[in-house]
Amino acid sequence: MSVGLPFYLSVSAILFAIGLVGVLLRRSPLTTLLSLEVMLNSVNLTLVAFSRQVGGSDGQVFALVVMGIAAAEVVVGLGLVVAMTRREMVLDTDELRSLSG
Amino acid sequence: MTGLVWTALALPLAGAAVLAVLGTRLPARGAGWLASLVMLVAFVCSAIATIMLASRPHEERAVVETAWTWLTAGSFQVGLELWFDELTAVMLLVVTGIGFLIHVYSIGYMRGDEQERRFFAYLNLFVFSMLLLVVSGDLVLLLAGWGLVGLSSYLLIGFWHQKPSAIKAAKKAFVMNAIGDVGLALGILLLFIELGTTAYTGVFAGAGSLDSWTATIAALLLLVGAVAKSAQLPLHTWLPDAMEGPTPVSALIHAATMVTAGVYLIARMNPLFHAAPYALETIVVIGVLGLLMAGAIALVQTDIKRIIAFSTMSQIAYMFVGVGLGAYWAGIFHLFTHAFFKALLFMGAGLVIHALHGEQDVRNMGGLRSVMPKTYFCMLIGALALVGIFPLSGGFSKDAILASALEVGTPLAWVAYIGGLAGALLTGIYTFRLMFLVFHRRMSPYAEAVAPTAVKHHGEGPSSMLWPVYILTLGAAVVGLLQVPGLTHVFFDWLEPIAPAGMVEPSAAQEWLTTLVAVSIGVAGIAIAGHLYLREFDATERMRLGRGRLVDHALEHRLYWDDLYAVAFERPAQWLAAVLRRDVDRPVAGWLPTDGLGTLTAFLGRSVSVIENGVVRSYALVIALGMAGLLLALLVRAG
Amino acid sequence: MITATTLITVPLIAGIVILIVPFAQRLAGYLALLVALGMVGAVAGFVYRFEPMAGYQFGDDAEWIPQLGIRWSVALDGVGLALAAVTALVVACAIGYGLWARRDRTHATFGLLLITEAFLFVVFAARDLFVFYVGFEGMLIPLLVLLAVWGGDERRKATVQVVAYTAFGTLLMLVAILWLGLTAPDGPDFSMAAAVGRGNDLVFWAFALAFAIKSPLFPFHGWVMPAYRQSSPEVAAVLSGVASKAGGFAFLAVLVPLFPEQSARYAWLFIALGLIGFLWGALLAFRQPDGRGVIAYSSIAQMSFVVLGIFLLNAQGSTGATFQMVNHALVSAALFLLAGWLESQAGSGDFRRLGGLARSRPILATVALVLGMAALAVPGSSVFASEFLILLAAFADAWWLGTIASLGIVLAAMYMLRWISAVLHEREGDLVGQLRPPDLRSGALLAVLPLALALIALSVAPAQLTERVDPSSQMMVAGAFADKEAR
Repeated sequence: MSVGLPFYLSVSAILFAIGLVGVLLRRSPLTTLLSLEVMLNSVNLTLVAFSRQVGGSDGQVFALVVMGIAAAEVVVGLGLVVAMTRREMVLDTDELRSLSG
Repeated sequence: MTGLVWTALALPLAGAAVLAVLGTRLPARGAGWLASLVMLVAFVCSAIATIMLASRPHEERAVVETAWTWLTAGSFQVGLELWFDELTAVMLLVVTGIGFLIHVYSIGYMRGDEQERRFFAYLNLFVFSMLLLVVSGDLVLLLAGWGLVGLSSYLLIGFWHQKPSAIKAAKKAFVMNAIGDVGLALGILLLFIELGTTAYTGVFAGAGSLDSWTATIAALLLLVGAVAKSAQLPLHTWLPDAMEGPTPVSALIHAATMVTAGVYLIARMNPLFHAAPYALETIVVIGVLGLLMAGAIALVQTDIKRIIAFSTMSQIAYMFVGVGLGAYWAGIFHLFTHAFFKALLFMGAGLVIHALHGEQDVRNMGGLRSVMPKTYFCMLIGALALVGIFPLSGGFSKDAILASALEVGTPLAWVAYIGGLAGALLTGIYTFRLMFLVFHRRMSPYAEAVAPTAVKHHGEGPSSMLWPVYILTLGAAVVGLLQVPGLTHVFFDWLEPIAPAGMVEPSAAQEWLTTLVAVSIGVAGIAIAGHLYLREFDATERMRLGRGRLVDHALEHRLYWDDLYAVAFERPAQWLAAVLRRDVDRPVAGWLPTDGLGTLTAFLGRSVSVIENGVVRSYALVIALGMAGLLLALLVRAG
Repeated sequence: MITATTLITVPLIAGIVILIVPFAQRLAGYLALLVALGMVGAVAGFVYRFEPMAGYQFGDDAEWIPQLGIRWSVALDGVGLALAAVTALVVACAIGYGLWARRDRTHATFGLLLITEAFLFVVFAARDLFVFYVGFEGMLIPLLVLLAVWGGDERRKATVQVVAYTAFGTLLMLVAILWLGLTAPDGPDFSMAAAVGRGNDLVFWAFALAFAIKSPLFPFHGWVMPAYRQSSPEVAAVLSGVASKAGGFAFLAVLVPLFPEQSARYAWLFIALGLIGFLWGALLAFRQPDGRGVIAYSSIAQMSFVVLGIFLLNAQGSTGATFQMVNHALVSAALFLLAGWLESQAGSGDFRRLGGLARSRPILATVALVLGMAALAVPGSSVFASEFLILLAAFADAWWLGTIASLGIVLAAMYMLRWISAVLHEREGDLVGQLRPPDLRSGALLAVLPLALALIALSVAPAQLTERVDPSSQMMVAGAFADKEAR
């Protein structure tokens, strides 16, 4: 059985759904960030899969860029989470609502 | 010649400016002398200009000269135009001549008042305004002078501005005159629209071509101005209150010059009034009613200056009758003689008030004849001239007016004739009531306590106050001789050219007959006054005229005119303003953005801010749902 | 060569420089005064060189944003020059007064006043709709900052009200201007000349609303009271003296020439509003408890009267309206400075606590009397001359119109006399007794005096102004007048 495009896309969709559910349901900012990573990687998987299918290398390059940005984002995000934890002493996104309008 | 008139016009203005700018840097006495000197020079200029005018042939006597264009817009053009003719010359001489005497008198009267300089600045400003009024050759410029005399009158009535009553009187005079100004302005506008010009030359030339309705309306509008300025019915209520001002002001503005401006206006605009016979008849009616009413009210007044003020109103009403009948020269002649004897009476009253330390109530006077013989003599001449006793000045001019009524002979003229004779009786009574109460009978306790010592220390007044009174006494006695029926004809001849359509002139027989009747009636009036007021009576008693309480009450309250205006205009206006301010302006002015927009914006903001709850997970949910929706839309479109 | 552009750029640059360069406090003030006086001189030069019959003069015309057809096109005609002249004078006097009053943060105060002046010149000289918009909207910004920072206790509310009203008006006008400019037949063109007669009714109303609010015309005067009460005297003087003239000027120089057909068609409405506002303001002025209230409502009345004059669409009406704007600028600026001076010396402008100030204060009494008499249009004064022209125009239009309008003149006499006697005459108020305010002297006097002297000069020879204004103002209403006659 050859591993075709639908297979990749299915895995990617499952991963994305898992990530989304994680973001929506988990209240710890750390888990939220983790779930976000999962979603990003699901998209990466899609990009690479399509890239292979089409035959160009644009998608792979783009996936690399996303990885780089994701790494930067994790750095900033984790830094923020640490800082917030130090200030507010809570690790609950529902309690961190000072941006409420 | 015109140069002299311009000088006479400019000097008082310069005087006022110098006094205003230098202010306290001038010595107090110097201000009065400077102002008087200015007036003397202006008088000399006017006199020389008049002589030069007289030396010209008749047809070249109306001189017009434009200094510069004052105002233009489109076809509308007003020049700073000088108009010098026989009528102007008479007015110039009266204003500068009597004005000079009153300036000198004021030096004595105002001595010791800390605001002397301000007083003389105002006085000079007044003279400038009055001269502007009489020399202007354009109706708009006349209106400027008209308003400026109102302004200076306001300033001078309210000269003692710490007195609320004085300020109230000044404001009343100004507002009533503003109503007159507006009437006059509307008349001028109408004339411009019909004739395309406001210059006298154009108006006189075009007046005949107006249709009679337009001419009547324009003339009546001008009459509103004349009535307000001359304190005639129904805009007369300011004049008695104006007596709050210093006495020289009453003599100059509210007797000799400004209040007669209405008569001048009608005489000046005679070509227009000639085209509007109804307006002329209205003037006669106003005059007859006014002279009787003012004379009757003067009978019961207790303030010496108010008695003379009502007398002034009554005499100006005579002038109105004169010009209304078409005897313009007679009206102006009475204006001329009246300026002398009425200024004299006011200045005499000023001497009395001075001697009594400011007391103005005739009930606190009496018996002053022995203490102030010179004043008594001068005022007696003035009073006799006012009553019209032959051969003093007032008689000739008043009888000329009444005889003109005989000459005209219409029913209205007969009413005027009989009304005028009845007025002569009233004049006799109120004038000599004043004389008897002030100078005869026993001294009141107050006068006894004050007057003899005051006169012993200062005499009857400083010479600067006495000499003008003497000169005016002489004038009041003799100026009537300019026009003795059948003998001299100076005044009529001089003024004849100002009325192109001709003037009414009674025959000598009519005049002598009228004089005979009027003098008898005047003497009868004096006799009645003697009967009523020469006997001894309690000084605190009310000054009853007859037995009827109702009549007394009505006359003492000046026939309720003031109350009528309060109920009809003042209170409704104040009520309206209060209601507008409280109930209407706020809602109307505040409806738009401040409340409406503000509330709307705040409401929208609040409703939208519900979504922005700050919970990250709900944001994520919204994003996810949005994306799902987007995908669904794409699928639907693709499918 | 000094042109209209110079007139605009010099105060703008000077204002910005004074705003940001840290001069010493007094030095900044004197520099601003010097620039303002220089502007007075420059405008005086213009007045001297002005040729009444030659239309727009001292102009500049250059590409500004060519892609949109926007040109830097400025020039002055008689009407614009008259208002520019009075603006220069009023701003100089306002700066002089501020200098005397020793405002704190001088850099900002005086810099912003100069910038306001520059924008006002833009309005009066603009020949391009976009340039006009920049000036019309731009002049409010410095004035609002001045109001919001240096105003009285309720300045914030006042500022919000002004912003709400004017933003509402000018935004619609911006849309209208864009529509006019972008739909020009030969590609985008924002010049006023290209917009003549092209607008439809909606565009007309968008302009009219903006101008009515700025003037202010009844019933859009809600922002006036708080703004005039809360701002400092010199800002109130500029606001009521010259900034409100931008509205009246815009009616005459923009709305009527650009929309001759609509102006003639809807003239009756503006005449009615002007008439109502004239009487309304006068009646309300009669009941105000303090000096600023009287002046503010009398300003509403006067500006309504100006609008009335403009929409009579004839020579006397338009010239009279321009003249009346000049007069009112001088009168209301001087009165606001005087009222502010009184408040600073006596601590309050409340009539019940003032009074009797004429005693032993001859200069104050004289200046206040001259201004009061000018404000109530005593015959012979320049205000009388201009009101007479407007009345003449009204009377020529319909006799009853002139007659009703003349009522307002009697009312004006009543409220100004009330002001004069409440301040100067009668018994001394308790504040006057306690604080013994001095006579009007030195700096404050020098700030008010030029305005009073200008009024007196205009009273002596009003034709000097009307002769210069008349050809221009007749041109402005000529189109609408022809349309009205054709009806």
